[in-house]
Amino acid sequence: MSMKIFTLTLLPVLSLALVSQTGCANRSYPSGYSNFPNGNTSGGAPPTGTQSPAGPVPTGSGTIAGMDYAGNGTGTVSASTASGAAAVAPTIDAQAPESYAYLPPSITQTATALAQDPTNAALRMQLAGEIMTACATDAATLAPQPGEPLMGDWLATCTDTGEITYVYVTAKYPTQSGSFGTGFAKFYSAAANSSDAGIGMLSLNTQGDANAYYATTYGTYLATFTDKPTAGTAVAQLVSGGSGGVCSTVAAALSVSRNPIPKKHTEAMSRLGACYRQAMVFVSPIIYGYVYNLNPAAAQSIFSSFNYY
Amino acid sequence: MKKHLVQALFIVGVLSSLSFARTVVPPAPGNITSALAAGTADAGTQLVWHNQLIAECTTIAISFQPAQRDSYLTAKQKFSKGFCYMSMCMTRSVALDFLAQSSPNPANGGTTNTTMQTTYRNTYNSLMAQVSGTDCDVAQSVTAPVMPTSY
Repeated sequence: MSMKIFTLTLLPVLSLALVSQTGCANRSYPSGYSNFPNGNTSGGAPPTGTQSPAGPVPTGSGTIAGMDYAGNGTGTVSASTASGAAAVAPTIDAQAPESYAYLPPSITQTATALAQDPTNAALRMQLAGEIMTACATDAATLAPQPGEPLMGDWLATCTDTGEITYVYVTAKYPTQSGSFGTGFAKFYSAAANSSDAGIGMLSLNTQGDANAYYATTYGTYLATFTDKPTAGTAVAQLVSGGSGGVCSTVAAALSVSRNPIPKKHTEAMSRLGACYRQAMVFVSPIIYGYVYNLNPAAAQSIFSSFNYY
Repeated sequence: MKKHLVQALFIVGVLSSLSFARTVVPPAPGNITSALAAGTADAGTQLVWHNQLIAECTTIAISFQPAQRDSYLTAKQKFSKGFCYMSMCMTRSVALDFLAQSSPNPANGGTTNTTMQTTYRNTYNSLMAQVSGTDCDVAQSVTAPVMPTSY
């Protein structure tokens, strides 16, 4: 009887909860858990004797916290220290990562099938595999994208009082093989008069060279990358009009970084962790049976614990 | 002659003391693996251990976070490294579950079938060999996917 209660209530609700999640921050699990019917906490027979397990007994030791790893997240984009540029401390203004739907409809089908046949180990493992695959696919969407390290405001200051006929940005990007696209670099005056703002086309060729320019007047200009040139190094320059302008070789620095990669990395790893912990419930027969036998409040608490990010 | 021998021994000692940084998911503490192998850890305890393992792995994988000024290629490598690390952690978690199933105590997920015990134990050893043999500092630089030879 209670097996039927579980079958008819817990798994369908769980499957709906899994599929209805449109963003990890909003993940939640239903409160309608039912007791597992048969009161069996293990799904197996009681232990008999003192039989020794086959194979070598593992003797591994150590802790995760004790591990070491290479790479400590340091490094700079050389554009920020380009020749002639002032060393401007970047203001980190990374935007909040977007939410992504990450569980495909196929999980609904498998979860529904498992609800109808909760002791089917093959379905249980299939569901676990689908959850892990969906999680990996979802996390992969948060991988760094070309150009993201360059996103932000690039500042170049010209002290020349003469007229500047245009501003341009040049960049050369070390890239992996692949295609190069086009984007836009927005230029605007750092002075109070914002009427100088404009959009210049940023173009990339197959060698990774890029340039963008915007015809303008004079002053101090910010060049803002708003699209995705392939990442690497960049130098922005203000070029004065006419001949002999003193600003002809002024380089720019990334003054405000809006590189979203660090936050996306944290988000991706958090999602993977939560999904893997969730999947383990279905991978492990003993844990699967354990969760089934919990009272609704306890089960709810466990599943809620996966929503830590 | 004796001087050269001493020098050689000194050099060998220095070289052997050097530790090269590798990003490998370490084995579980011995008391945990022993309890799982013996079947003395109940289901609730196993759930806590798995959760704790993956939560710690997540913290470590997050620590690979690229710096704000890292280049795209560097950031991509660090992301791949985190992905690799999380995957190996999940593999280790699955391996520990097989270890629990290899125990002689069915009440805690084991089995009295010695043939199955051997199968589960071999699976555990195989998975752990994969985990301990995967250096995510190296794995992340491999661009072409390579299927494990054990499959």
